[in-house]
Amino acid sequence: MSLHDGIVELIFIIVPALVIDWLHRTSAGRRRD
Amino acid sequence: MYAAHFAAGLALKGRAPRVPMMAFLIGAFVLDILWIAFDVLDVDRMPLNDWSHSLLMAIVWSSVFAVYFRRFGSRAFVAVWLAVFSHFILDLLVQGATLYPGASGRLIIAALVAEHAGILQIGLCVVLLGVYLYDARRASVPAWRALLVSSVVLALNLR
Repeated sequence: MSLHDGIVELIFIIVPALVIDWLHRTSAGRRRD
Repeated sequence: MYAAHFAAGLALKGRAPRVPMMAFLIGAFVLDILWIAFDVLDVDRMPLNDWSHSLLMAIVWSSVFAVYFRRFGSRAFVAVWLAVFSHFILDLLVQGATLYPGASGRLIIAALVAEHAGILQIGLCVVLLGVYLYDARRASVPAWRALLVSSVVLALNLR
């Protein structure tokens, strides 16, 4: 695997994780309000 | 196996609510992150990525990652440990695994491997998301938001 391929693979892990985390945290924030 | 790892992280988050969500989501991919690093560095040349994905190494990596979260309590440690180790379990179901680096043969659950892998992955995803939705409801998370999170994970099956 090239470094480029490795970075792409990492993006496919980190970006969805950030999106899911953001949705989850937004939910928690609104619940506290 | 891809989306179901996110679903496993979501399902385990409810077991330790004080631990950040990212710990579960990234934890569920620790083995793949190591696989990427080892592959780029040309460290692991085994066909099943033994140094990141074998049973023995999965136990080691789960323990190393989860020990940081012991400050949240033993329950948090176990939940995060399971999030990392769930990667081994899920991969075992669809592609098999080895016991330790360099071990001959492959651990497989033959009936589930290959021919049913696609259906199995979606099925596992649905079950794990069901656990997440149940926990979200108990935590009073708005249903539409929990469903949105679940939809994002289900959509990742298209990758």
